[in-house]
Amino acid sequence: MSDIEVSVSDLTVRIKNKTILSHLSLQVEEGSFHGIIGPNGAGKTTLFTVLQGLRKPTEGTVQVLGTVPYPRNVALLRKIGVQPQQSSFFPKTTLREHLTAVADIYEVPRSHADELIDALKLDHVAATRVESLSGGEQQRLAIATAVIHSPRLLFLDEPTAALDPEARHNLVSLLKSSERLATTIVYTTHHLDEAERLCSTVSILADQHILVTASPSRLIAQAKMGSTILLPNALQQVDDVAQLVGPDSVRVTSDGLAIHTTDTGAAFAQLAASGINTHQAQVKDGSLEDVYLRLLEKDSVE
Amino acid sequence: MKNCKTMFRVMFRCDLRDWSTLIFTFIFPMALLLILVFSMKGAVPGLDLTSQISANVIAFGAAYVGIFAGATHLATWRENGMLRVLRNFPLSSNVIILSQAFVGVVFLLAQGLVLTIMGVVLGMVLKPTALLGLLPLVFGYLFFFFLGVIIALLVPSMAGVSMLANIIILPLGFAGGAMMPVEMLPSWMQTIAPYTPIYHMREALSMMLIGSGTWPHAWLGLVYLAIGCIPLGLISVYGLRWK
Repeated sequence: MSDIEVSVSDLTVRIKNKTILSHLSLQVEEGSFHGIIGPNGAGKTTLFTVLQGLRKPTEGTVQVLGTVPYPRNVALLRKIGVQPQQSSFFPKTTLREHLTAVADIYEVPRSHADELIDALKLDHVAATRVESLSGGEQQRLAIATAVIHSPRLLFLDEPTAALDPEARHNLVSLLKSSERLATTIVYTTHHLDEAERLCSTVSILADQHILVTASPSRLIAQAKMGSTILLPNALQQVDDVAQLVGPDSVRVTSDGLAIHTTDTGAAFAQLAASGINTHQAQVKDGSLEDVYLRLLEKDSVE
Repeated sequence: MKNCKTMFRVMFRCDLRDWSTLIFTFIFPMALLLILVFSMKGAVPGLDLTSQISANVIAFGAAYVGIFAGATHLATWRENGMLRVLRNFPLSSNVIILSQAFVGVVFLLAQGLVLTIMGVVLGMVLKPTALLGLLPLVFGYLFFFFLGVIIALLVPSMAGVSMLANIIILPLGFAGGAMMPVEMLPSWMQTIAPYTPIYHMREALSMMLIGSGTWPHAWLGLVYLAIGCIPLGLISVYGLRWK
């Protein structure tokens, strides 16, 4: 069984009498790529600040790599890497100068800086001032800054939040080859498709606590999300379809008729037998996004 | 110590590449010296005003370097989020203050040298005790350096820090007799002048550099600055510690 790298038990954080996190528990296993997803203001960044030892928990216990992160623990800081939401660098330095300075601070060979410049495809901008880098290059440099000392545990706080689609795609590809970055990665994101691709486990944070933790595939399977059949040419037959599969399973969308089913094969057979136009039909399986939305909906009702 | 060297290199490089730092460290005091010397040279017959003005401007320049050396990097890093990144590095906050102070000292010495050479060219006559003038310069620099650190800790934006630093340093320079001899200031300003730090920097520096004034006044100035550095230094170090 893997070691537990992050262990949070019954954590409550109150800031100026406002409860941000309440009785939150979380465990992150060694070697996992653990995503924390949740709506804006759910407390993801607050949780990160507690895990990094920037904030004292109001109640509960927090252990990171077997030690307590607060108050500031220099021995722990040498083993973790942090990429904050907002990329920040030493002003008026070039990319290489910045990374070399960080290598010196961590007392690791300067060759680490060159290796990362190469690995993160930043060679062409190594002599460029940090202020002149594009958003994608800045995010990659921020990640290089966080991993230059080969940390055991890496925190990534919404690394793709401010990126255009192409830069986001490139960064996600980079993160996918994460064995080069750190042993264990904890990251937050708003992009659920990204979390589904990258994470070995995800925790959904809402209403001040973790609603569920599991692998994306397990979450989807457990939620019995089923599939959606999209019929672009059957809008005229909406009443027939509703009668066939039940009105609750049919939605009219801008792309056509959407039918929710747990048995795609049987649904197609039924539709064909009833003469419904299934030409150009598309099947979309349940996604992490569907699970997430359903969980949030359920949580808000409760 | 290695971290101190790294941080020194980062900050020094940044300052060398920053036009406003170079302008306010070198061009502004040089222009001030030229303007004051040429406008007041013969204002008091029989008095060597060139030497006096040069010493005053060197003292004022040191105070200016000090307050901005203390404030600029911290304020910039706080504004761009780098201070938070640094908090996660295995780096002591004292290393930041120390390396920042060393960078400022390099600029202080360079500025002092440039202004002294310029003063001599304009007619300043140096005394054999001139090298002792480093004492009030360094103490005065540290006094204002710590004040700069405190300002950077209190004010959240670089623009605000820059404005507040100027609001503090310019009137203090004027009241302390850096722009014109204290005897020529309005009487109410003459009354408050001996309580201002630039006055004491000037008094001590003038005596050591050009032999103007008295030694007791010069030592009193040094004691004033040294004692002032203690609470300001403690507040700076305490205020910047990682929380």
